[in-house]
Amino acid sequence: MKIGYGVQRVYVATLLGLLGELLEAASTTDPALRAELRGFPEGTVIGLSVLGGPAPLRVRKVGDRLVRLERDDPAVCDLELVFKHVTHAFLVLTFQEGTARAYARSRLVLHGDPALAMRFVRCLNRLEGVVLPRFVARRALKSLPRLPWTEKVAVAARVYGRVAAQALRFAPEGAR
Amino acid sequence: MSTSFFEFYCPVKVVAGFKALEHLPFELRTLGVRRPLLVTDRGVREAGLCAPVEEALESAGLPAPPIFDAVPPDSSTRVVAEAARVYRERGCDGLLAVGGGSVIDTSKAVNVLVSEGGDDIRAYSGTSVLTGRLRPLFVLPTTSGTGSEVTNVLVLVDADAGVKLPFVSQFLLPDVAVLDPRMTLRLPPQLTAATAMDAMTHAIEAFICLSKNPLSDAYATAAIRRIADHLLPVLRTPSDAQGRLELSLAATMAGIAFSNSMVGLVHALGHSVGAVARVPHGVCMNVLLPFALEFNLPARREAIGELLLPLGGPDVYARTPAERRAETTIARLRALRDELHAHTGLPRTLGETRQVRRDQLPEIARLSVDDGALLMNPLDVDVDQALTLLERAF
Repeated sequence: MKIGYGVQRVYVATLLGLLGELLEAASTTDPALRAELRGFPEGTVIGLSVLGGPAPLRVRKVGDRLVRLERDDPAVCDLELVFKHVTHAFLVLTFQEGTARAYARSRLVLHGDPALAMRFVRCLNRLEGVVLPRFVARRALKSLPRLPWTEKVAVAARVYGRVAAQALRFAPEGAR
Repeated sequence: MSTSFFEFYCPVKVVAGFKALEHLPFELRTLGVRRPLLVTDRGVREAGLCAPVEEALESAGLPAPPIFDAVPPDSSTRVVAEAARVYRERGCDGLLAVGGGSVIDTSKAVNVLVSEGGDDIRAYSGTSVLTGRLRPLFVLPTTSGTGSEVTNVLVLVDADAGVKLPFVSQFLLPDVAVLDPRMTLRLPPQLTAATAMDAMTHAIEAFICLSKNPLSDAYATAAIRRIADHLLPVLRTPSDAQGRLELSLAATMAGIAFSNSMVGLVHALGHSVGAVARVPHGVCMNVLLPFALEFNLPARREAIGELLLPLGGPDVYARTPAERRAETTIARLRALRDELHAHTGLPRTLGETRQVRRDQLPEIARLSVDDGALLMNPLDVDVDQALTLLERAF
């Protein structure tokens, strides 16, 4: 089935937003991801964007958390991962292809420090490893995180719970 | 259909073989360069390797180029700023790098400053920061290993922070690489072996890592075959000019291969060993290569097995059962490593380098997992796994 660019664009925009929420939530609830974040310089801004695509996802490291930046925030990215086309972002965000393999296949370019990119990719891998079902994560990652399924379920529940709580907090009064 | 995709880019003109140096005046004229700055180090200059370059230029009616020969083995941001100052003061219009990896990387960095402007090369550090073509850069390698004459990367030491700064951009690719056997004839045996094993590692990692593609595979296997065929004969007969040229070609081919498919675990570990213990890069590659291949076996058994053909030749390949080719490839690399040790004293383990202490291994492991090369490795590597591998290589 052919999926048009317009649909891909909507899906990518939605997933970038969800990814931002998941990263923010995991950075407050997952000890492994928090430990990884401690290696980031304070205030680091990281972006994930698509050439000619929807608004980019940008997060800033504050303490040992990641905080999403508003669209109009003037911050400049210290590290930016840019997909060359919306269809390449679609491949990755539908978990048909992992970040490392997408980079290996030149679907995205890095702007910034490669060491910082390594740490951020580990954060993405960790997030995907815990919040995605194993059969999906196996397609997206080089290797699955070594953690017992009970821990995986517990961490995923905390991350999704946090996202749900945030959604409720910001939902209009009548929608709660 | 497979979702596979690759890009391949190498616009460098390779000028290689007998009397290649004498082609340099023509190449300079073609790109409109009248006054190149010759960048080199004192060792290369004292070994008399700049003289034939100057003679080749003067004999074609070009003036002797100004020379900057203060490049140290690990070049830094300060050296680059100083060389850029000389370039501007002397009114140069291109760069001529005569030397090994440090000289070539310094020349690329100087080219960034004199083309893009400014005095602080750190402003251009990182991936894809440069935005336009640089001044003409001509490279004459005096070692056969780094492949830097055809790569889009450079690494410098930040003189203030003491850390290594990587730069990656297609605009860092030189314009012309001149491979003349006269430039490597007097390379000492251990350096010949170490730099050749650096090239061998470039080719092997290009062949097994995530960005491997049909074109880089062709360059990688051609490079491996040349090193397997010519390294030991050259060590036995150092004046073998044809053998020297084959090793230079191998290094260039390996450089083209890894510039288009990147490297992996061996380089991630090797960069960190070099940073912590100051072990020369080629020595690190020689020591770590078999251990890293063993680590990657579960993900790359078939590709590693395919390397037996260029490494061992068709007879060895044909008589080795397919399921044992990967292990045989690694065994042959170990045998080559032992022969190089016997011929030149090239270390076989981290302990034999006498520069690495066991208590440094945890720090090396921690640095390794942040190395960008690991992104392209077929398997993820965490700190514990890196440490185990380093312990085995010690």
